[in-house]
Parts: sequence; structure tokens; C-alpha cells
Amino acid sequence: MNRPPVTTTLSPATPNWHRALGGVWRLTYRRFLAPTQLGILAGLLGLLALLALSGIHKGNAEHFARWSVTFYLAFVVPAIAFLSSAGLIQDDMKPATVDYVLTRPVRRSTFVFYRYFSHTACLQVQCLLALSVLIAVGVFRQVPELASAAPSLLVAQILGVMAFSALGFAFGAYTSRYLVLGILYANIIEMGIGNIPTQLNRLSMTHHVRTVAGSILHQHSRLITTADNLPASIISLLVFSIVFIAIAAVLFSLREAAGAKPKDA
Amino acid sequence: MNPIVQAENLSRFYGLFLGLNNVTFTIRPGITGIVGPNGAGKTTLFRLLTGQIKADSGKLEVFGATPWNNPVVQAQIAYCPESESVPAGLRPLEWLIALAMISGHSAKEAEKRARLMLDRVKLAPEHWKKRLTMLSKGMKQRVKLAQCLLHEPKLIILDEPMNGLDPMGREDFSNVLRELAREGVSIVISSHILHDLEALCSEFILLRWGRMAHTENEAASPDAQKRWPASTTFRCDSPENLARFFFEKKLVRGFDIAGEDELRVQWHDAAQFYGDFNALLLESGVQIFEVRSTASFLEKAAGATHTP
Repeated sequence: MNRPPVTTTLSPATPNWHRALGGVWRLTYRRFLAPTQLGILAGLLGLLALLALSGIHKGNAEHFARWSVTFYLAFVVPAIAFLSSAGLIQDDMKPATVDYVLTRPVRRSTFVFYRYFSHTACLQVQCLLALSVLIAVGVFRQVPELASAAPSLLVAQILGVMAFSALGFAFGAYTSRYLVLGILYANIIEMGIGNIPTQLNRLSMTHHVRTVAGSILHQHSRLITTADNLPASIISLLVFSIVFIAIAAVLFSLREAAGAKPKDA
Repeated sequence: MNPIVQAENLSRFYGLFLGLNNVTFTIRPGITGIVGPNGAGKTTLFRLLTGQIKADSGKLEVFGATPWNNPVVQAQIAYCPESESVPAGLRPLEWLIALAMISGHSAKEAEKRARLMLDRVKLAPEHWKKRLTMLSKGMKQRVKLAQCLLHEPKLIILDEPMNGLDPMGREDFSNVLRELAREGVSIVISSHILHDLEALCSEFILLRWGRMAHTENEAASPDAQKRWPASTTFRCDSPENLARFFFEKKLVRGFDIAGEDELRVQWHDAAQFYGDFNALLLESGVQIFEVRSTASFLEKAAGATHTP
């Protein structure tokens, strides 16, 4: 270097949890602002608007509630939260994260928690946009009582994103074939056990999402498939979230990431 | 000086594939070169040192502690990987700020450091806000080095950092490393550009097929440190006469005449020739136009790792 050495009064860093969270947050939200991601989001919102326009009948509140709960909340939101989260944690096992982030003074389990908080927050914003599209279509279709339905949908969506993101983190931390595992889970637990009218259906997270949405949309209470109450379902979704993210943290901590395969040697 | 890294009977396998096989070594403060052909286990060693993978057997201590998932050790080390993978969608400045924050700096301090380090590695400010994936290979290497310097590490591990750099860039890079070494930072570096390594490193570890082909003490022995080239190329008016002269003096074990004016010589004892370089060439009576080394001590040592 031709210039004299840079002399500064910089001091070494000491690990600090809230600064590390800030760093992970910056890395995470920037992903969502990448042009490709924004393009995908715009495309998905457009698709949702088209589907909602073709699926929601004019002036029919029950039909709107059924469509938004059974299709949007119980299928679209879980699928997006799961795929996005599982893909993210899989990316975090690749060199772009492993070499630069996991070599820094933050425990892997802690990193998973920070990543989950940051990613879920960004997903909530995306899903809020999607819900706004849905409400806008409802207004366009002159659906009555939208104002009373919106909060219930929002609460159910927030809890659904949290739970299915955590599930995505757990499956993504476990295997790169998280999609296969996810399809099996969806068929066995959500579509199978979740629809059996016994106590077992409480294992289904979409069952609780439907309960949260349906119990607030009291005028369409037949959406509720059991006599579960709202607090129980909210607590269940929170517990599912905590359990799955804890599993993800343990798996991620135990698993070696990039460099653990022969091709990486 | 106390070693900063101590490895004892360290092994790492990838199923049936070999990564490192029962290696024992120490790394002392200073600049240490890791040399070996592709697949020798260099990257495996780096991943073990940075705590990304676990050893199958043996003991590894970095700053007196096991590096696997250990923030205390990780706070003191920095890693610049060979891989060109960088996060998509991020720009150098914002990436470095985020990484500095993860290392424990406040947002303000992180930005200050990020700017300082990008300047230190001589990445022009107009590239600071371009997407990382849009940067050239050489620019990426500079950003990768900058991210190593963010948190004032005591040990920097560099895996093929010179790849993609032009000669000027390599010189800049080497100067930054020398400055860091003067500031007391230890550096472990691998490179296929052996001349650069020789110019930088005080000690070497030579790896081959996951084993230590040479210990660092052998490589850095006083004899080796004379660094006489194992072979030399002469451009002269009579290569045949010069070759005959060297044979009579029993200095060479082989030679090759290329063209009308070039002689390549492999020395029996390079130290003997270079010790009396001027007198011998004068005595030969041959008009010499150019003398250049064709293999250094490190190339010789690394070459020996290819022959069982």
C-alpha cells in the first residue's frame, strides 16, 4: 500500500446480544428488499388479487370469511411462511452465511433465534400487504362487515406466520429436503389429523388458526370444527412456535454446516 | 512465544473421504503459510480452526480453547474464505456494517469501521454501494479482507486470498497483511502463488493428502530459510559450455538446453553455487545475459509433497 498505515483508536469488540440482533436484522431485511424478492412479492400479490377477485362473491360476507380463512389463512399463509423460512435456514448453512456470520462471536442457537425474529417480522409485513390486498378485494366486492372481520384475520395471520415460520426453521434445519417433509406433514397432520373431530385435531396448527379467525368471526361460527376456545388456540400456536424454534436452534447448533461434506473438503 | 494454535493428532474425515489425518502442529504468532495441492486438507484445517466443523479425533485449541461454537474464540479470529459466495442483494458497506454489529459494535461504530476497512483494502468508494454480486472477483476479495478486519481480530485466517487479484492488487494485499503483522495480528494464509507466500510468511505448514508433509520447523529451518532456488535458468552465449563447466564442478544433477541461448539447471547443492555465485560465473568464461530462479525453496518443498 502506498499510503501510510491507517492509524485509529478502534478497540476490539466484545460480543453484545442486542447489537448482534441488529446485525442479523440488517442482513435479513435487506434480503426482502432485493429487487428479485420485491418482484416475486409483487407477482404473488397480483396473483392473490386475481384469485380473490374470482373466488369472492359480491356482497357475501360468509363466502368472504370462508374463502379468506380456509384458503388464505389455512393454505396460502402457512405455505409461504413455511417455504420462506425453511429456505432461509437452508441458505444459512451455505458458505455465504457460514463463512462470514457463523465465524463471528454469536452462538448458533442464538443466531437461529435472531434470524427467526428478524425473518418473521419481515414476513409479517409481507403478509400484512397480502391481507390488505384481500381486504381491498372485499371492499371492491362490497362484502359487508369487513371492519369487524379484519382484526380477526390479522390476529390469526400473525399467529399463523409465527407458527409456520418456526416449523419451516425446524424442518429446514433438519434436512435440505424440507419440502418433502413439509408435504408429508401437511397431509398427515394438517389435512389428516387436523380434520378428524377428536381431541387429536389440536395437533394441527391450521385448526388453531381457523379457530382464532372463526371465533372472532362469530357470525360464521360453523368454521370452527371443535369447541376450542380462543385463548387455548392462541396459546397452542405460541407453544407450537416456541417448541419448533427451539428444535430448530438445537438442530442448527448440532449440525455442521458448509464444509461438512466430502465435496467441500 | 506461546503458540496461538495447538493441534494434536487432529483428524477429520468426510465419511470415507479424507480431510485431515492425524496431524500435529503448532502455529505461533506471525504469518504462517499453509501450502499443499488441491485436496490436501487446507480448507478442512481452516474450517476446524474457525469452529465451523468438528474434529473426528485429536485435540485442537485456538487461543487455549476449542473453537467449535465458541464465541470467546470466535471473537478473536476472522476468516476470509476461498469461496466467492457472498450474500445476494447486499452492498459492501451495508454488509460490513451488519457483520460488525454481529461482532458486537454499535451501529455508529460499525459504520465507521466499515468505511475505514473498505478504505484500508483500497476499494474505491464508488463501489461501496454496488451490489456485492456485481463486483469483480478482485473487488470481492478486497471486501472479504475488509470484513476480516472489522472486529480487530488477533488471528486472521485467509484461504487463497490472492485469487483473482492482479499483481498490483496482490502487492496491496500483501502490504496490508504485513501492516497487520506489525500491529501484532497473527495470520494464517494459504495460496497457490508460492512466491507471494514466501515473501510474506515466516513459517509454513506443508500438507499433502490430509497429512503433514513437512512440519513448519523443517520448512522454516535456517537452511530452508536461505531459500536458494532448486533450479536456475541462465541466458548466455554458450549454454553447452556453461553446462559442461557446472558438471565438472559437480554442481548440477540435471540440465536442459532450451534454444540457442538458454540453459536450465537443477542443482545438487544450490547453496554451494549461490555461495560463490560471482566467482563461479566468471570462472566459467561464458558471457551471461540473464540469471533467474525457476524454483524456490517453497516450490521445492511443495513439489516434494507431490512425490511419495
